[in-house]
Amino acid sequence: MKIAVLVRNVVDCRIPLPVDEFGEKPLLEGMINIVNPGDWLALDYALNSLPVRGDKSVTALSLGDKESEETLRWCRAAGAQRVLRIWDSALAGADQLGKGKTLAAALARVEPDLVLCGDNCLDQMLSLLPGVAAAAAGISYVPGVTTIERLEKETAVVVRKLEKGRRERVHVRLPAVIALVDGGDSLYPDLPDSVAAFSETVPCIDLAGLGLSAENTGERANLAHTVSLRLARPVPVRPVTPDPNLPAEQRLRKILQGGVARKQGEIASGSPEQLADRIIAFLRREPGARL
Amino acid sequence: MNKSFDVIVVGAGPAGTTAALVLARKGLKVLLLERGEYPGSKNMFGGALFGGVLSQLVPEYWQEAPVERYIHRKMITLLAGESAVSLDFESANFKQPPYNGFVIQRPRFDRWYAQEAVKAGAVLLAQSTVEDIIREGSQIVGVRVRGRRGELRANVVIAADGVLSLLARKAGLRGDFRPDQFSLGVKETIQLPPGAVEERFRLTGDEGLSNEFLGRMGDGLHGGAFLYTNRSSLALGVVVHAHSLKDKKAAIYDALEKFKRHPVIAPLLEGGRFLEYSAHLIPEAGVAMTPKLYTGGMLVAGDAAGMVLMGGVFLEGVNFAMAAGWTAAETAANACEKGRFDAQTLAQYRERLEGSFVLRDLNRYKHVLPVVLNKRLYEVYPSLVCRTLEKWFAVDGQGHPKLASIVKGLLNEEIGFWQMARDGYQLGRGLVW
Ligand SMILES: Cc1cc2nc3c(=O)[nH]c(=O)nc-3n(C[C@H](O)[C@H](O)[C@H](O)COP(=O)(O)OP(=O)(O)OC[C@H]3O[C@@H](n4cnc5c(N)ncnc54)[C@H](O)[C@@H]3O)c2cc1C
Repeated sequence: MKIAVLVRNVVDCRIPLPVDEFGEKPLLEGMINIVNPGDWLALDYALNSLPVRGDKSVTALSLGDKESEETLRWCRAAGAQRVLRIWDSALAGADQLGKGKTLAAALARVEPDLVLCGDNCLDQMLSLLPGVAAAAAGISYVPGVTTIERLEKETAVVVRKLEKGRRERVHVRLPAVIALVDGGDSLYPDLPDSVAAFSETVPCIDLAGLGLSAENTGERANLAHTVSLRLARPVPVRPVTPDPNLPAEQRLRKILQGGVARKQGEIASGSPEQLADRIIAFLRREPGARL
Repeated sequence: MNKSFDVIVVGAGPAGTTAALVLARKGLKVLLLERGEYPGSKNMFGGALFGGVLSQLVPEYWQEAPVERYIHRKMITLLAGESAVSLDFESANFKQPPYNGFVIQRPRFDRWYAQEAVKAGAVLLAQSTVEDIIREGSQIVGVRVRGRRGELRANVVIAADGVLSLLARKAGLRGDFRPDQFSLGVKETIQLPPGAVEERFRLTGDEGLSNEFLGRMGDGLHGGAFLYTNRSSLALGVVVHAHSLKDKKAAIYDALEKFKRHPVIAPLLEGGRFLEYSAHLIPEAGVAMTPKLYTGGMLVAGDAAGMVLMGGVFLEGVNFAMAAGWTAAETAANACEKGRFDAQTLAQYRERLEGSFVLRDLNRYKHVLPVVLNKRLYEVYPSLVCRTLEKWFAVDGQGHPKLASIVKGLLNEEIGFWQMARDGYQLGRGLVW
């Protein structure tokens, strides 16, 4: 049986993201890219828990730039028999539909009997991708799956998690994309396998290789375009009424300092007692704090 | 299955990556192991890269490497309570290629540099912490990685795993650490409002500045401080001798806070936003702490071998690490050619290092340690110089004394002439002749 696992390379947003000038833009350097944890669990499920009778081969696919290569290497190290990266510079600005169509074309190449992925994705933009790919490929997308109970050549029976602890059993015609909410958590690649995976070249297929064109799937085919980008409005600060005892020049300065200020952190220093007072005063000023 | 390599390099810092790059370019099978999520993710330093070695390996590296600014201005500042005296050196030569140095940020730089090694054919495996070495008789033949089954084997292991080198210790090449051999550095990166770096430090374009400070760094803490200009932020921190931290039980972050509040420093940080905080040890005892540099199947390079030149007003480690990594690679490649990896064959590593600036400079400056550890360097002289100048420049209606009489008065108050002469000799022997 041929299994494909869709793995997404995401920025680890569980740790604070580094930001540049005054917290406006995330900084690329310092960001740590990881294998989307949900997809990693799905890979583990594919390798170790799937109730397959007979032979099984697992291919990990990732749509993404060079950063995704490392993701695929870890999949290979963990035991995926094949990996395939799908990328083309025309995809950089492509919308979810374009990327989904591309992924569907790649799946058509691999011809899997079953496609697995994680139900959760750290990157919201990428969370739609498996569903869109399934739609583009004309196969069903079954989210929220906890277990695959039975797996035949053309059908599967899966258990889906519903709200309030309810579960439903679903009969699925294969191939289908099944998004798993749970998976294994035992995947820890061996050292020699890791080294072998990091010594190989990771195959990459572009739009032309998939028989697609930038006109149909790349940025130019986007149905929605960004027209303009406006930064968050600065937070207005109440004008200061300066202390009347101050000399004129200092009063003027105080007034001129008022107006629009960026929201920013404050560095406090002093003795522990002074610091405690500063912290309490700060919390009192914060609208969210209730002191 | 056990995979084997010609050489395994542990640690993708400047020493390790250089070794891997040189070996890969020679066509050898080399594995570079790094514990961080990516090379550089766990690394910090002050900020000045002196690129003499790097430009021989990657000509005009500044065109591609993520550098912040070239350093054309170097300042040395003596800090006293409320005042400061600076030596401000600026050179047009430092503005020209190949440039004397650049301010860099390690997470970006190390990541880029490791990719150069990968491009040359090295295999890089991040998220892999080496926790043990594998021995066969007197030879070291491989390593084990934490939490991973299996082992990795190679003819030579290069330990470039930084200041606390676990590998050098496991191999029995170094003993336990002593606090008087290390300094602790803490650094903050502070984002300044747009244009403020250029305006506050009189910089145009890509010009940059490095400023080293000497003075009392908080109660009884001995050490220095540094400030480097990034593109739009400042890297500043203090470096304090570990033994003074131990003796005084003082906290280093108090020293950093005190430095930031100094009347000369505070205005430079105004409106700044704190971005990150990091801390790291620096080996500073030079040749006095150099471990045995080789054993059968292993070479030690960079901070792991204590190869840092620390002279109070200068601190060089990255260029030493790169030169040592290169030398280790040449030695390992030569051993691969001969097919012999015993201690006797690898002994040429030490000879090669003695012929390069690495051990030559560490030997040349071997008397600098007592200078650096002399507490009067921090507690007395900076304030003596500042007070002298304050008295000399002050116009207070009491008449203008001559410099010699001010110096004499203050010297008698503070330490006396003979003590200063002794310290002067110590300083001269350490840094000047
Ligand atoms: C505060 C401070 C300021 C400094 N300022 C300057 C300066 O301005 N200019 C200058 O030239 N030098 C400076 N230095 C010194 C310089 O940073 C070091 O000398 C230099 O980084 C040494 O390089 P290295 O490759 O030997 O070690 P490191 O840079 O420490 O690299 C060691 C690498 O090994 C990895 N590693 C460690 N253990 C393991 C393990 N068990 N398994 C796998 N990987 C491991 C680490 O993650 C790291 O990537 C400064 C140092 C400090 C602390």
